[in-house]
Amino acid sequence: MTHSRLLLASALVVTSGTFIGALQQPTRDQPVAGQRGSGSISGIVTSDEPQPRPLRRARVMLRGADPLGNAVITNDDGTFAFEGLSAGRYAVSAAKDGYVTANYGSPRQGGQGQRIALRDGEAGQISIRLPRGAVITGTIADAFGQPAAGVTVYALMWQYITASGERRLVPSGRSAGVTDDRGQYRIYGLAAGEYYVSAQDERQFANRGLLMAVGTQLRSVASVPIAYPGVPSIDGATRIALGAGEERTAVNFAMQYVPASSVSGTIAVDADGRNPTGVMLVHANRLSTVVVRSTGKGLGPTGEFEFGGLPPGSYTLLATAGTPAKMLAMTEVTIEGQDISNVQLTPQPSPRISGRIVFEGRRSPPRLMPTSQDLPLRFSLWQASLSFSPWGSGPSPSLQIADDGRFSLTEFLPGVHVLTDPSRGIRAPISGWWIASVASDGRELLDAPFELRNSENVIVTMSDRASELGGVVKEAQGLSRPEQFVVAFSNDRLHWFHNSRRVAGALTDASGTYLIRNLPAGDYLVATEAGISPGEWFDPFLLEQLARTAIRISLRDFEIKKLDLETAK
Amino acid sequence: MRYFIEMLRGTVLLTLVTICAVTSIGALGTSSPQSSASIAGTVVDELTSRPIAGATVRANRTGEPTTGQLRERLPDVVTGPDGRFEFRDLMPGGYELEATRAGHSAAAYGRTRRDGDTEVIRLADGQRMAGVVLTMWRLGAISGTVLDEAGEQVVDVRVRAWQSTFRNGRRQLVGVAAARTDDRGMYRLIGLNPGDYVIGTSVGRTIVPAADVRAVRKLDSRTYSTPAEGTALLLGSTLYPIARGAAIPPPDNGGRLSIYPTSFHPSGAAVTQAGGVRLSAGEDRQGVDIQLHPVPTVKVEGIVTGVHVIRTGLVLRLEPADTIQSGLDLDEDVLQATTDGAGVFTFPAVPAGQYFLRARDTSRAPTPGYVEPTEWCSIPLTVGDADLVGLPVVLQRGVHIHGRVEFDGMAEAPINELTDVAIEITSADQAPFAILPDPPARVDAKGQFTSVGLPPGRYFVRAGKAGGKWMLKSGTVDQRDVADAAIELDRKDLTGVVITLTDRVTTLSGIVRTPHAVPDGNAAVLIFPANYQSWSLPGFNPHRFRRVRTREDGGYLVNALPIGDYFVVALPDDRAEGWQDPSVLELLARTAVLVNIRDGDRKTHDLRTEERR
Repeated sequence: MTHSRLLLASALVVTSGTFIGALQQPTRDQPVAGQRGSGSISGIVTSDEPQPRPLRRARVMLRGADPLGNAVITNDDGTFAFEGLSAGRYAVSAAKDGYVTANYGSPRQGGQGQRIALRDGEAGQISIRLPRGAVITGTIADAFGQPAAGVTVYALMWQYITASGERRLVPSGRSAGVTDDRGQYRIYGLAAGEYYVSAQDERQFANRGLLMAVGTQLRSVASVPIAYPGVPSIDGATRIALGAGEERTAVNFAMQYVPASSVSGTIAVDADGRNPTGVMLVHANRLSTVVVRSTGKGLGPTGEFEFGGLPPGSYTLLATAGTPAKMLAMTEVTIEGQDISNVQLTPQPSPRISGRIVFEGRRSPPRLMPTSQDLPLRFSLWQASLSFSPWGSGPSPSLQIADDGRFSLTEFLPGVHVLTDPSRGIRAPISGWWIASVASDGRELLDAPFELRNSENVIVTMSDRASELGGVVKEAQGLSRPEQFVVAFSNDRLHWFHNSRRVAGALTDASGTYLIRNLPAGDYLVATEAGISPGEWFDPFLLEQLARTAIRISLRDFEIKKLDLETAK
Repeated sequence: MRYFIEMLRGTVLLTLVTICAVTSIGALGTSSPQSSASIAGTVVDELTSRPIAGATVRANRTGEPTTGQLRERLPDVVTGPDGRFEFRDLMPGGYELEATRAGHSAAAYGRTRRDGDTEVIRLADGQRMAGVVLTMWRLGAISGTVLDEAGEQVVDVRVRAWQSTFRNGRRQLVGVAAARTDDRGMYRLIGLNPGDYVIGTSVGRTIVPAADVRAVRKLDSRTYSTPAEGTALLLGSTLYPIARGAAIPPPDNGGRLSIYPTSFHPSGAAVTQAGGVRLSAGEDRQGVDIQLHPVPTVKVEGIVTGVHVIRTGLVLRLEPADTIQSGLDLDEDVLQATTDGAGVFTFPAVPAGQYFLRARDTSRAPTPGYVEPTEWCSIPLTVGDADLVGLPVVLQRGVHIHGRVEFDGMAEAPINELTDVAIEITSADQAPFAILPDPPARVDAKGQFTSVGLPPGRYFVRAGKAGGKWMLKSGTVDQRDVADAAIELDRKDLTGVVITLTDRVTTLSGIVRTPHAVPDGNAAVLIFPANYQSWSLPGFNPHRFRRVRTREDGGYLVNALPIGDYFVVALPDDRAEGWQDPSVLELLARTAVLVNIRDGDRKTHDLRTEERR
């Protein structure tokens, strides 16, 4: 039985270690773009303290038009210089092991920085302050009270994952790896903030079950991630608030084995004649660990499957067919220490969805219908636990569009869906046409996650007109602010979901101007913020913060509204 | 940071796609009901004899096909507080048992010393085997602090432990453990066997032409983002990566960099200056500090030409001469550069010293790693305080060894078995040119063989397959021995090698008894050449070094020993570690029995276990 734990932290190591690892095909060198001008950016890197100390051997990274970027190392007095720069915009960040990496001009810790607009021949002067990283250290005991060596310990922080629109616990900071032979660990370089600490023994996630010899008995057990102060779940875990540079010692706790159970059942042959070939089991335990197991070809002759060695928790079972696997059926089971048998996985027929595309506007409709590539009617299953499945957010239905504008959607699982890609059609036009509505029998599908049932009357309305919300962002002194995010979001919290068309963000250009188009008519809140990342504005926590200072507006259909904004402070 | 999370997220999804491995229906804790055999026992600590709780014991059935559906795997068993484990409902057959726990060496059934051999448990139908003891050895640790020349602790630098061993006739320093320093500059290397170690920092990096990175980056530059976590210094047209695990060098001086080379405890970049650390069993050695000093560097640049058109991406290694001579295995910690489309390579920052610039073009390999003709270079290079540019590097075609296999025996030549004979061609050089070990040559139906293309050097030619129905009698070329005396290969192919096999297989057997005259079922019999010149290269022949465990009745048997004079000695098995070291052999030789093995001899020698301290 294959059983894999996917650890965000191991991905962290991979991504940071493979800076140029993917390059295998060198070619002869080109002159270095961005290095022929007469401008410069120089400055100093110091510690972020009341009495800042210059930091030697810090890495300062510069990124301009040259995709290569450049880096220099600070001198003993903390100074650095990038010479020979041509005019342009440059992002600068600085890092030193043991300190928290900072982006120049970021209004908040770890946030997106401000680029420096460098004119020809200009000598830019900057300083960057790096907070000393905080430390969490302690000793992990095993289930028998002995030092647990070789255990991986994580400092986890809540993060909004813009790709999937969920908040997850994400590992942070650095460590030497696993606990040493004394069970000790030390995670350093942590930004100030709130953390949970979890530990797991990755060696015991082998492709087999685990029994424990207790007296004369053999009990089926599982080794599970444990959170400080010693709980097998994020519920009950103690949050550790760290100030900048703080060292928190004696964060000690013990690993545990929990009783393990099995889940078994059968999978029926699909009504559509598709033959299920396997079952996958997905378990996200909210301690940054996702378990995916697969029966592969191991289905019994009449579709039996079994998974053993499962700790308590909720699991998603997916029936799959073919290669690459397609999902045919899904069900959830919750284990509370007992074996579960006779789970029936019955593939449901795909909803049959069809409809037509209509064009409404002052211009005549395009002669050619958009192709399924042009029109990204991509939907995903609205289910958080699936976002870590091999399909990302579930399989995307396939779309066929006929010349007369009739279309059909096939191959997707019944359930609650949501549009996944607002970038084309919603936030930007497709050949001059905007998606104004996707409605099924009069019900708008774009304003909330929706359940798709058989329908032959889905109308996609394309319009050549769209509302416009735009203006200039200025500082209190009246200077315009480039590279400032403006977020416009519905006043109705029901619209605050991932990829909602009623939540939008835009970056101001060099003149401080922003423009957001195709917001449907309604009441909106508008706020400006620096240091956030694209997509982060779908985070309800962020929107809740922004709502406190936001300006309230109303938009009518196709209204063109000018709204100048002022940055805080 | 945000940007980084996105990357991370992408990686997770990618990873997930690849893990849907094909497996079977689980058989957790259950098995076919009619099989009721069992194995039970205890995991104990060798030093204290106390039971070890929390050890993971794994049983594998032997001789089972590893592929195919429904391969039954037994669940692992974790020992409880009493160190006990049990496997129930077992089918009859052979089982291997292994127990692991971090901080201890892996225990296995039959293993009586740390790296000793294991045995298979033969389980009859319904047999209940109890009282199995699996012994674990506590492992040692070495820790210390890494400081730079200003006394600042060096954070997140990789520290490695190389263990001194004597292998294949050579003294070698083999990398066995690695750790990273924390924010206090402290590292701790764990899981170390007793022995002699060299401790040093790691600097592994590959130099890539900057244009390639730029090309890849362009694909990903639609939106501006904060610069990536990884850092590379742009030095001229090359990128000098500062990978995780390397100490951050001082800022460059007009494109000229001072770097921290691989540095050994206590201080210094030459392995010959390294202070060895002798670790006893389970020892926790502290204060093994390393002091780093930056050294100035120059640029080494050249162009590769060869018989074929050189592709981009040929990897050149710049191997320090002193590490080669000391047998230090730098593996990834050697400077490497790749060629660009014109065959040009650049090492932008090379400290002064003696090097070998080595490459072996395996790019046209039909099977991974091998290619005909093989092209190679190994150029001694002295790097001083001035740049070396325009260095011509001409790849040479490898030379071949041709020969045939003859059969000298009582029976008829086993024609159809000849093609199974693997002709071992092994380097006799102290510093073999071995980015990859050379594969054995295969014998065709006519008994002929040809090696792969080899770099020049000294080589042995032998038949690899020992034991069984036949053995190597001799390897010669023009009457000259090539099985025990290495032959020098230069630029010319070597032809006319004759490998002679015989079915008059020699044997040496006997009974080992303890000093109290009791048959010793726990002894190791060591056999090695009587001539001390054969204890190390260039005279070392692995077929002349044997170690066998006695059976329960004290009996031992060795076959297919090449003819010659041998020392034979019996020791308690747990004292036979590191016995191939010439200094150990010298001690063993004092009390060993001298045995002469001639053609077809079947000799018997009873031995007495030596009580050695």
